[in-house]
Amino acid sequence: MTKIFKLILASIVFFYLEATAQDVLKAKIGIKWDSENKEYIAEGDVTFENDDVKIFSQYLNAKYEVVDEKEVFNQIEVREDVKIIFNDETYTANYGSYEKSNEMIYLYENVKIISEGRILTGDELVIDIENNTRTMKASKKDSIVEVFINE
Amino acid sequence: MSKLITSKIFFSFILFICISFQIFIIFLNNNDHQSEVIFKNSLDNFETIMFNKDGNNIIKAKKLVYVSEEETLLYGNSSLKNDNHEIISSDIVINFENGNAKSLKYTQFKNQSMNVISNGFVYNKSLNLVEFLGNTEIVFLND
Repeated sequence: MTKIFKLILASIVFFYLEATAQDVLKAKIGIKWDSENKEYIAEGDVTFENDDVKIFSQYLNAKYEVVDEKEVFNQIEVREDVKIIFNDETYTANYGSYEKSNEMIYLYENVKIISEGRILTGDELVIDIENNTRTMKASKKDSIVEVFINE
Repeated sequence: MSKLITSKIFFSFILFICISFQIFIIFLNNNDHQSEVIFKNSLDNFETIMFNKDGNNIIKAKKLVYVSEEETLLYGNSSLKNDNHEIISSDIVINFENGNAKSLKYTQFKNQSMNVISNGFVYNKSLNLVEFLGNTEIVFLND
C-alpha cells in the first residue's frame, strides 16, 4: 500500500515538474521583444537556460513561432564569448546556433570541447542532442579532428 | 604676535566650518524642494477603463499628469492591464494618441506565456516592439 502511495506521489511530482518546465532568458543591457518578426534580441552577459542546456553569450537572437497561443523557440543564434553547458561538457566558440526544433547545436570559430581531463579544439562543431553525438571539424592540419559518441 | 596669528587661524577655521555647514544645509533644502514635485494639471489616485480593439484597458496611477497634448505621465506606482497582458511600473509616460509607452523605472510585465522583470521599458505599438531596459529576466511559461 505504501509503495503504491509512493508511486502515485512520484508520478504527481514528475508530471508537475514536466508541466512547469521553464525557459529563462537574462541579459544585462536589455532584451527586445519584436512580436512583428517573432524574435527576442538580448544583449550584454546573456544567459539562456532550460532543462537541457545552458547558453552564455554577449548577444542572443531567439526566433519563435506561436503554437496554441504559446511562444515556441525554433532557433537561437548566439555571438561573442559563446559558452554552452550540456550534460557534463562545456563548449566554447565565437558564434553559433541552437536549433531547438531538431535538437541540434552548431558552433563556429575557436571551438573548444571542455570535459573532465581533456580539451578538444577545432573550427566547427555539430552537436546532435537527440542522438548524443558530437562532430568536430578543423581546417588546419595541426588541429584536432575527432568524432566521438557517448553511449 | 604668534598668539594673534594662531587666534586668527582659529577664527578663520571656525568661520570656514560655519560657512560649509550653511552651504550643506542650503544644498539639503534644495534637494527636498526638488523631490516635492507639484503638478498643475493632475488627478490623484487615477483609475480608468479605456475600451479599444485590445478590449478593456485598465489604467491605474498614483497621479495622472497631463504633460503635453501628446504625452501623459502616470506618476508613482502605475499599471496598465488588458485581457492579454499587465505592466506594473512607475512614472510611465504614455501617449494615448499612438499607444506608445515608456518608463525608466523597475518594471514587471506578465502575459499568459511569460513573466518579465526589468529596469524599465519602451513600448512601440505600431512596430509591436517592447524593449525591456537594463537588467532583464524573462521566464517563459511552457505549461
